[in-house]
Amino acid sequence: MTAPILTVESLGVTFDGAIPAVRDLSFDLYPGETLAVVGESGSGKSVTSLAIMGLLDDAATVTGRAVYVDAAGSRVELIGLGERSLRRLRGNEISMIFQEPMTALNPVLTVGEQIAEALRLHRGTSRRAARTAAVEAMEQVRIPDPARRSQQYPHELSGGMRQRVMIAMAMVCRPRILIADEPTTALDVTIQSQILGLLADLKDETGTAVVLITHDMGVVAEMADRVVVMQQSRLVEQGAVGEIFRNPREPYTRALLDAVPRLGAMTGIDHPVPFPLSSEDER
Amino acid sequence: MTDTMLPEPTTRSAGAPARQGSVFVALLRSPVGLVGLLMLATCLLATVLGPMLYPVDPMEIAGRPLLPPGAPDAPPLGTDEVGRDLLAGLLNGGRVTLLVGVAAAALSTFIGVVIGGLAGYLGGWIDSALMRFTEFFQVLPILLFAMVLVTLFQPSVGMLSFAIGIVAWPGTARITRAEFMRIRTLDYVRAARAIGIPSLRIMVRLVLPNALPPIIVISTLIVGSAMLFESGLSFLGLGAPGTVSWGTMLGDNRDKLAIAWWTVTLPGAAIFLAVLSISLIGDGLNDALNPKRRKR
Repeated sequence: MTAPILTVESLGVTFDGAIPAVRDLSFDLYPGETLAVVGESGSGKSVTSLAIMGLLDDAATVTGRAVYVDAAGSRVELIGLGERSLRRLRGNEISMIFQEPMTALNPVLTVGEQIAEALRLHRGTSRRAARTAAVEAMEQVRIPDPARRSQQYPHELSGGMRQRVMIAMAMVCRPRILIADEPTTALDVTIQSQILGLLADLKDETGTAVVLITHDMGVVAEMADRVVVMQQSRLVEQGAVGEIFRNPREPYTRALLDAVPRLGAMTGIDHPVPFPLSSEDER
Repeated sequence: MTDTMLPEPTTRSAGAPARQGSVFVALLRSPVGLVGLLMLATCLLATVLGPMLYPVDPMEIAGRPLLPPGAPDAPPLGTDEVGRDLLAGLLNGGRVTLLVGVAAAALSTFIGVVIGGLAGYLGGWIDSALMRFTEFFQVLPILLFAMVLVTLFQPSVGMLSFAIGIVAWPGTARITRAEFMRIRTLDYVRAARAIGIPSLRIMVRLVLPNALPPIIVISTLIVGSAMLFESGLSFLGLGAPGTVSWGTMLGDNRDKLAIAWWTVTLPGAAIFLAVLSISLIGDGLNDALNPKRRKR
């Protein structure tokens, strides 16, 4: 088996010395695979990704290790890495897309300029060449009429279109890792499946490893190769998707799987039953 | 020939209208802004073209002192306490007043945006230090400070602008800081950091353009208050020597108010109208730049 491209070892994140948001989390990411990080809101999924990117603010204390193996094969410890080195990696080798396409684009720049920004920054591409590359990137994320669209401002695009622009922004430098933080949560179901399909296609075209953060087991089944299940800031279970779906070891994983509605699952039940939360004092 | 009979296609691609253009159009559409723009245009035309159309030296004696407007042998708007032509004074004096207003507002906006922007974006001890510095300027008796500056150095148009600009920025700094603090936490700033854009570039390319609307509005209002300030300093005799400004005219003639109302009232009205026009434009811009009105 190939060596992992990213190794997270006993990662911990605490805000202002309060209750930890992530505790003792370890997982590996292999080149070209899609790893899903699943868990309910507040389970520490997003904080994990922000910690890996070094995007948490000063209030957060991050412990543990996250080793990234770059294209040349040298190992880079991401936790505690200087801002300058992190900046060189971000958007270039490790990229991220966010949940809210409505607010994650700058309203005063055209989307083309925003996509070109990363290229000009990391590759030193000239303004004109970057603009052409931005149009190509928009074509790659299946935006119709990309030349005209690249001249438009975010408010002129629909939510699905904006999420495509976000993906183009994150992918334009061909990063080796893409962290997608609930990329489809804010979109409606049809757009959601389009975006997921696009991410899968892009992954196949570019060989980028994808960390897909989601709470939707349906998305996991469709997209992921392997799954990391988190609950209340801890790792609960990890393994191959088929394995976990067939044979979840942990009751929490089973509960998450049961949360996906199935056709006919409500037969004989009058109302949806509240999701059983494990008690807070367990920590 | 028959081709020309065909109607022109009326649908155009829904391209983005130029942003500045749409703000300007919105300003023209707001009644307040339109009135302000018209008034300011009148003031500017009068001060720029006026001296050419009415080439009378405002410093020369044009007749007997204190001739009322419309008196026989008097200039159109009468003469002041030493017999200078009041109309010539008004037309020429506006130039200094408007120039000082704009220059002082530009300087104070620059200082305010730099200090407020750094404080708001960087936060932490830098924010605290810069805000204490700002508060120091806020509690300073600014008129006194500006007077000291002007008397210590040569009073001139440049010095007046500097003295006013250097005391007028705290409001801009506070507004800029608040905007930067708000915008700093927005998703698109986080997204920009996630693709590796350095902080300074984020501040200039992302945060500043999004923080501009309130900054533009307050800068406009500062133009008005700087003009008042210049008039105040000139009234106190600290205006640039050898030049006419509405403030100096007001100051020179202030003790004649009871016997020759026009010598004081006319420059006072000019100041009032100019400042009012700028305030109206500021209000109009406030509406025009309001994103809730600009949204489609």
